[in-house]
Amino acid sequence: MRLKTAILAGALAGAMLTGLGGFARAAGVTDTEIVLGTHLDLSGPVAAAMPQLRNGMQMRFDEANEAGGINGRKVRLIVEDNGSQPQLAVRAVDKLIRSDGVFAIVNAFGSGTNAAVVKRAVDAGVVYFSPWAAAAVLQKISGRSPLLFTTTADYDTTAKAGLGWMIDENKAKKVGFIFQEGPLGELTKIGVVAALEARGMKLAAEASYKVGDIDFSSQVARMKAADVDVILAATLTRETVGVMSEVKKLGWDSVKVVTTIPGRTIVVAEIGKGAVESLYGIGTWYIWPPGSEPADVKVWQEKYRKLFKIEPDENAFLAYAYTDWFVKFGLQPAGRDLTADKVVKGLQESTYSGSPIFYGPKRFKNNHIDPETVQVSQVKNGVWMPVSGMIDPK
Amino acid sequence: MRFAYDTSYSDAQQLLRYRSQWICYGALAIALIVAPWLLPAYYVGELSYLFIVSIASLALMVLTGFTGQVSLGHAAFMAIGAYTHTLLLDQGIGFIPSILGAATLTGFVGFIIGLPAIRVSGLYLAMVTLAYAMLTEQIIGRWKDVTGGFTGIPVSPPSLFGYDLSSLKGFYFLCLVILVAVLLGLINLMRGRTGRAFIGVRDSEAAAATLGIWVGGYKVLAFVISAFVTGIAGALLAHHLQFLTPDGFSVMLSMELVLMVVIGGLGSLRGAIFGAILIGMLPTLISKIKPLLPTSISSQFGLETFVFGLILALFVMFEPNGLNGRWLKLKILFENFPLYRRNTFRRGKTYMHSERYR
Repeated sequence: MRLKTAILAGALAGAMLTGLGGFARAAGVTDTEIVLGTHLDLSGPVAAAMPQLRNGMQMRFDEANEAGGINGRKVRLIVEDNGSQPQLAVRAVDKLIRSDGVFAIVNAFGSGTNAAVVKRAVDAGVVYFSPWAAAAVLQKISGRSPLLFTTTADYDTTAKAGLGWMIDENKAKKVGFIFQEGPLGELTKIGVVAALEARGMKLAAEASYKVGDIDFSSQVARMKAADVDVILAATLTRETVGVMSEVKKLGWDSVKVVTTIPGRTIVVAEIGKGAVESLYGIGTWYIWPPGSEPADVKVWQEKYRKLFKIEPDENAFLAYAYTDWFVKFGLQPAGRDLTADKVVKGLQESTYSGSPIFYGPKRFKNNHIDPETVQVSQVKNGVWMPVSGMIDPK
Repeated sequence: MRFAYDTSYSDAQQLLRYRSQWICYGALAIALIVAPWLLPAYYVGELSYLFIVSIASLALMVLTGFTGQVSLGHAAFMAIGAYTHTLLLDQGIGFIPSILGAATLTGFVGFIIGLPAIRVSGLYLAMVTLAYAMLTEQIIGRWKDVTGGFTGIPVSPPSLFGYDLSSLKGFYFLCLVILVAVLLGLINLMRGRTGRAFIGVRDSEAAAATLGIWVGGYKVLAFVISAFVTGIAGALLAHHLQFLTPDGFSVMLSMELVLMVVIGGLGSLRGAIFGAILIGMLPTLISKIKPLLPTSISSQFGLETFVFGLILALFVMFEPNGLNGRWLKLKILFENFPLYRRNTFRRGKTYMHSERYR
C-alpha cells in the first residue's frame, strides 16, 4: 500500500516536472534571451578549421548583444561537438533540442552529420539555417521542410558550370575525376557527367579516396594512365594539396587540375605552397589577395584579430555573413513576438547584399541560395586569382 | 558475511538469491520504469541510447570477455543489423520478424567471420575482424541501389501491433524490454554449459580440449551469438539515428565497444553495462561540465578528446579490473565493515606465465 502511494506520488511529481519543463522551453525564446545552437567538429578530423566558424558566428551575435540585443533579447549560442560522426551529431542535436530547447540551429558543420540530424530538427520545429553541407541531400532528407535554409551552392550545378568552362577554355578531350567518397563525391559526379554529356564526351577515368586518406599516388597514377587533359578533384583542403603534390611529383605539367568549392580556399594556397601553384578552383565567393581587400573587409579583419587573437580566414567571414543574414532578415524583422513562422517568412522574402564576400545579392529560392554564381580562379604565386568571368549555372 | 545454505537444487538456480538483491534490483526496476515520467525528455533519449549500446557491449563481452577473442569488427555487425532491419521494414515486414531477421543474418555473417577464428587468435584475429569491418563499410557505401550509398537512407519509425513506438517513451520501453530480455538470456547462457565452455576456451584451450570441449566449435558459436545480439543492437540504433549512413559505423564505433568491455571489466556482464554507461555518457558529461569551466579552458578545441583520453588512462593505470572490479571491492568493503582486511584482493599465489598453456 505504501509502495503504491509512493509510486503514485512519484509519477505525479514527474508529470508536474515535465509539464513545467515543457512550459519553460517555449522553443528557446524567453523574455530576455534567444537560445541558438550549432554543432561543429570539435574533436574529429577537421577540428582545426572549426574555431574560425565559431568565432565568426559568435562575433556577429556579440555585436547584436552589445547593440542591446535583438528586439530586447540577448542571443546565447550553444556550441556542441559532432566529431564528424553521425551518432555524436544525433546526441548533440538531441541535447540542443530537448535539453537546451534551442530556437534555431545555425551554421552546423558536415555533410554526414547534418544529414543524420536535419530531419529530427525540423520535425521538432527548429529553424535549421545554413548548414555547411551538401545542400541537395539535406533538402531531400528534410522533405523540403520550410524550416531548412541551405546556403552552400549545389555541388552538382557548380561543378557542371565550372568544369564546362574548363573544358571549353582548354579544348580538353579527356576528363578525369578524383573524388571523396560520400555526398560530396556523389553529387559532384552528377555535375561532371552532365557537363560531359552536354559536350558529347565520356568520363575517361575516375578514382575515389576515403576520408582520412593521405596518399593519392594510385588515384593520380590512374589519371596519368588514362592520359587526361583535365582532372576534376572533389576534394577538401588537405586532399587537394595531396593530389597536387602527386601531380607535381610526376612532373606532369600538361594536365589542368581543378578543385571544387570545399578545396578552393585560402588554406589550400597557404599550406600547399609551391605544390598547388597553377591549381584551378571553382568558387562561389570572393577570395581577396592579401592586402587588396575592400576597406570594410579590412576593418572587419582588424576587429576579428583583436577579439580572437588569430588571423581570420574566409570561413570566419562566411560564418559571419550567414549569421548576419539570419539576424538581419530572420530574427530582427520578426519583432518582439518571435516565432519560427515569422523568421521563415522573413528569410524567404529576403534579398541579402550585406556582405562583400558574395558574388552579388543573394536570395532564397525554394529555401536554397540563389543565384549560384560561380567563378573559376587559379593559384598564381601562392594567391588565388580570378581567371574566368562570372558564370551562372542556370 | 553471508553463507549460502541451500535446501534444494532450485535454490542455487535462482538469479536473485537474497532479500537484499530483490530489494536493490526491484528498486532499480521501479526507477527505470518511472524514469520517463520523472526525467526531462533529453535524458530519456540518452537512456534509450545507453540501453542500445549496453546491448552491443553485452554482445562483445560474450566474445571478448568470456571467450577471449578480440574483435574490432563489431561496428560492421551493427551496420548489417541496422541496414537489414531498415530494408526489411521498408518491405512492409513487421517489427518483430524484421528485427529477428536482421539479427539472424548478422549471426550468419558472424558465423562466416568466426571461421578464421579457429585458426588465428589475439592480435591476428583483431586484424581479420578489422579488415572485415572496413570491407563492410565499403560494400555498404558502394552498393547504392540497396543501401543508398554514402548519402544514406531514412529509417521508418518502429511500430508494434499497430502501436507507434517512435515516441520518446515508447522507444525507451522498447529498448529497455529488449535489453532486459538480452541480459536474462545471456546470464542464463553464461552460467549454463555453453558459458562454462566459453570460459574454459578462454582460460586454456589445451585444458578445454582435454576436457572434451570442442574448442573450434565453441569459438565460432561465440561469434555467432555475439553477432546475433549485436545485430539486434544495430537494428535499435537505426531507429535511434533515424537516418543511416555508412560513416556512422566506422572503426571508431568498434573501438568504443572494445573500450566499454575493457573499462567495464572483462568477464562480467555487469561490467559490460557499467562500461557502456561510462563510455556512452562521456560526451554528454563533458558537454555538461563545459559551461562550469572558465572560458579560457572551455573554449579550447580538443577538450573532448583530452578528457576522454585522461579518464581512460586513469582507469587502465589504477583499476585494471575495470568498473566491475571496483564495484565488487566496494561491495565487499561495505558488507564486511568494519572488519575489512586490506589484503582481501591480493593474490596469494602468482602463476608463472609458462604454467599456462594456450
